[in-house]
Amino acid sequence: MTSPLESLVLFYLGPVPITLAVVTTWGIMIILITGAFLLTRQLDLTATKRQAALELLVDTIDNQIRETSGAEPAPYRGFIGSLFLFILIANWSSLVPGIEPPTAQLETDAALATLVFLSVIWFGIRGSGVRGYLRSFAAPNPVMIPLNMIESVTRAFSMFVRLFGNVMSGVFVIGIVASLAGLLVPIPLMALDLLTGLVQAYIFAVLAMVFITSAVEDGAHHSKHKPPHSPN
Amino acid sequence: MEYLNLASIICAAFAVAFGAIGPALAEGRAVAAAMDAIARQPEAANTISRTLFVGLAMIETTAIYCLVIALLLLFANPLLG
Amino acid sequence: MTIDWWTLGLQAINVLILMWLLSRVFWRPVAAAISKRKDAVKAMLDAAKETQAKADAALAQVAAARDGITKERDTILSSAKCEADAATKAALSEAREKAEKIFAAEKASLARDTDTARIETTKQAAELSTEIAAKLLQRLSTSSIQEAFVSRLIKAITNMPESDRAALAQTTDGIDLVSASDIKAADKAKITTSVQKALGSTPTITFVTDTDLIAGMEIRTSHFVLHNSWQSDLAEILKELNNAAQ
Repeated sequence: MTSPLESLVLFYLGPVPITLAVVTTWGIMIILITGAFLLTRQLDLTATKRQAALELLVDTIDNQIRETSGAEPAPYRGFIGSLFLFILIANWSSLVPGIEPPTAQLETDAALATLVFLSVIWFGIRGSGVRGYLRSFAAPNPVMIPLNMIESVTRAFSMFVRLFGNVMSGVFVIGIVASLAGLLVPIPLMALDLLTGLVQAYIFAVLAMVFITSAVEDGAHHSKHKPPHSPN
Repeated sequence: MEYLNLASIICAAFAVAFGAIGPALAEGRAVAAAMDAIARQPEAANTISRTLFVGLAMIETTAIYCLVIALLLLFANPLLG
Repeated sequence: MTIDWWTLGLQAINVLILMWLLSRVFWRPVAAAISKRKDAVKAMLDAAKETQAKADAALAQVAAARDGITKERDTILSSAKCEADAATKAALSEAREKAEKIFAAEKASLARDTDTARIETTKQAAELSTEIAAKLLQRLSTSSIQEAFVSRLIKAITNMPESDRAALAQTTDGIDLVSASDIKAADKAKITTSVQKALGSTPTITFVTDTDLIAGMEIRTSHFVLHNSWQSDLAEILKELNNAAQ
């Protein structure tokens, strides 16, 4: 049995090893972008069914962002929505025979968690400036500075391990069951995998939004020199 | 060498087994509390379910950590070289 | 466990590119479409609200105008009714008044006519009766009646007030004794003595005949008349009858 921690290198582009996950990601990217391009070619005031479905998706994501952060969704929509869509499609790509989801590989999840980590910094600085963002580490009081700094790394790491563990375990279990009894038996597990994939995509996006929001709000509180709010 | 392999396998099994107990109990409590809350306030079901999912994912993370530890023991054990 | 940093970097770049492209191709157009529709709907709603307000205002105006018309019509109707009532009442009262006046006038004229007719009739009847009486009495002109009239004359002279009798006795022009028929000479002397005796003086007495008297004996001087005849009696009765008729 191949280790789920190893990644299969297909070929080398100069010194760069191109793994199976990278190729799968490219495929997902092509599908998503062409699909989005084709679906959004004719947007009109009077919505067709297709456009209504697209708008429902965007509206749902907007609502989730609004409910989670309490802010207007426009600046975060592209980042959070794309994150959600990519993870969802990547998780569900395990249904296609012969394709291993890229989120079942350490590198993809690590890359996603890194992006979230960087985006928290980016949105925190954009929301309240460098000083405001740095001050947000001192919330609720300066004693918490080292803890907050460690937390900002560990929560990204936790997201990384959570996504990887869930998707990889699903794929792993399905692989084991399929190797034992190939016909029909893995179907319930695959259905469970679908649910897990959706929930994990949703959680990843929501947690990213929560972290961004906390960074923005803490920075905003401190940059306005308001009294520090009580710790929850 | 043989004992190290055996110990790694046994430890991986124990890590997953005991690591699953805590999150299982915790998730049970969380779901029960969420059901109770939804029964009391059906109009807040949306917010409660969203918080519940996030909370469940957080709780589940501990089990996933155990799983990762087990996988490390099995497939990337640094002691086995 | 080893992490392939190349792969990590590639995947990060991949996802970043995906985000950028999706933002360009998917999120922004769809969000723009949504907001555009929202704006369009809002504009339409505003326009609809405006139109509704206009329609409401127009409706209110129409309703007000209709109310005004109704009120005007009511007032016109009521005033017309009042006028008609007043006119009717006035006409009625006028007619009643006129009728009453006519009635009263008729009644008065009728009464007057009746009265005059009655008076006239009574007068005519009185005249007729006096005429009849005169005609009847003319047949009764006998000597006995002559004597009765003479004695009545004597009695009348004696019943006269003292001053009148004195004035009659003192008259110098002479006294006319008027009778209806010629009196015999013997009777003339007898009558003269009785009259002179009654008067207490001796004035010249002339006998005059006047058939109009029917029967009787009257004393006439230039400024004194003593009526003592059927004629004067009948005249007296007629006068009284006429007075009674009035």
